Amino acid sequence: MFLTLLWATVSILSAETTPSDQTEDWTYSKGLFTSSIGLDSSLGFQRYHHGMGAWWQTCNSDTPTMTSLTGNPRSCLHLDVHLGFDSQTIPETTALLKGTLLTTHIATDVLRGITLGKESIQVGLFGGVGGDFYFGGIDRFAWTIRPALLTEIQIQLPVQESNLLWLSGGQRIGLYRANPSIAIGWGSRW
Amino acid sequence: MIILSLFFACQDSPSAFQVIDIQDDSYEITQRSIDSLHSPKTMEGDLGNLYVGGSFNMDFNTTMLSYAKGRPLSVQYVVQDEVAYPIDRDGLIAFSFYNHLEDTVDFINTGSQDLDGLLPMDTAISPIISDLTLAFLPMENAAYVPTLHHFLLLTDAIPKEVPLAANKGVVAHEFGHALFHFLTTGGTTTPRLLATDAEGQDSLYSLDEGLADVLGYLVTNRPNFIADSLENQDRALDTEHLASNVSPLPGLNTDEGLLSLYNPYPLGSVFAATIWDVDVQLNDKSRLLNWVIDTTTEFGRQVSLEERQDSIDLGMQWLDVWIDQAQTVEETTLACEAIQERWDSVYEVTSCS
Repeated sequence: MFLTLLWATVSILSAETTPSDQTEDWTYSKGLFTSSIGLDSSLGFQRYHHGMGAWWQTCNSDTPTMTSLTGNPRSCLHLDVHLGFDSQTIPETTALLKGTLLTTHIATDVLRGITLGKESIQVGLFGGVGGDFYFGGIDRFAWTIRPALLTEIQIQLPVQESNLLWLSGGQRIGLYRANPSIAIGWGSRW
Repeated sequence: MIILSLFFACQDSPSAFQVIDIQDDSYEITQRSIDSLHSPKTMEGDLGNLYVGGSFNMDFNTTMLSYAKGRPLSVQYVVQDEVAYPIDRDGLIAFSFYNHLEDTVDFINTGSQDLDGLLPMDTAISPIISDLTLAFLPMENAAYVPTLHHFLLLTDAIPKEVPLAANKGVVAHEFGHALFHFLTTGGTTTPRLLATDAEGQDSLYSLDEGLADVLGYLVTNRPNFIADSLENQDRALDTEHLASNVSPLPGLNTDEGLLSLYNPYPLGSVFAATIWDVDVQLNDKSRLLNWVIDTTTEFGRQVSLEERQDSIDLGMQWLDVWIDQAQTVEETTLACEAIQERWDSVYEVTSCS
């Protein structure tokens, strides 16, 4: 996990220090995804949040013909936001949800990384920061926020000319916690 | 982001906590003050601290247990109007557990005995258990680890309205095991009263479970407190538990392997129901608590000094001491009647004859 983050960071630095003599080639993608995240609970267990989100990503490349996974990496900026819900059984109350405690998680992420490959399968290695907003409470609205360092591996499978299948897995890392996340989505690229 | 995090870390100290507790004869979401809890974020307080993970290890040369502490908790909650509201159910469980622990200690402190040294007692949540005999604990449980003086909490495999760790009777029951060890051995990290291969181990095991059930009942005033979390346990104190129906009784089970297969609960329920019979007639929980504590202390002393020899019915001999510790004719009469009804043809207390 940390090696992945380190590799991504080093790769970003090396990718950004060498393009001066080459042609810029910007590509963009955006899409929607469904996600599952195992968040650390108050007792140190995993609390699973399922939901959906949206991403936007841009990459620039100096070697547009490169398709090999071992070719020159492209530098990317990735933004996403996702919303997940977790419901848990509690004694029945007069509150709106009666015997259920619904905890909502909203994540806003900013990642930098590299992608390898272009026309066929693309693999991205990312690192970044995110804000985890938690909304819960039984008969009161309660919320809190915790920052996280992010590592993420993405796989993009182009479908036809302008669409792509997007897969992602990563970790949201904080003090005493490393929360795994997976996502699958569909998007467009141009 | 960092400023926001610092802001939430420095939020006001709550004067009350949202918990699962008994209200109007049923479990409800309610608010309670927990004076002994100093740090709700990490669940540290006068009664002990809670830790996540860590590992229980056994030194196979000395059979001594040790606990390598895990990390502190990080309970997610917010404070509004001086009340701490947990974000998730596990936070609700953490606050409820500590609240029940405090209520149990408060109840025990109504007794006249000096219990200094019993607290604090730390709690390990889902630790790694390297010892084979402990590793076979049920998947979901709350437990007390004698000689190490720690609570052990495991996750509920099946979600419940009242999780085990938020069940006041279950918390009191587990504290009852700590109390039993303290009263019978005079310490918290002292060796057990009997070696695990002693003849009286099974009957003593049942006595321990029965007295723990009694404490669960006394703290909650619910004879079937376990049913709030686990149904069909046949542990209700107010039902027909007869020693003659228990099979196998101590000494009649045939297992001799590493792990004892003796089920202590059926006979433990007979102990508990016997005491419950007396409580219903006596209607003085404070006196009953003192009586049971005095009896257990004296029983432990007699066994330690070998005034009572190791035997299969050693646990049942607690009933003899119970009668000896009665302070009034009424107490003796009620206890003898209960013993004769519950233990007929299995065990007889000489002084009741």
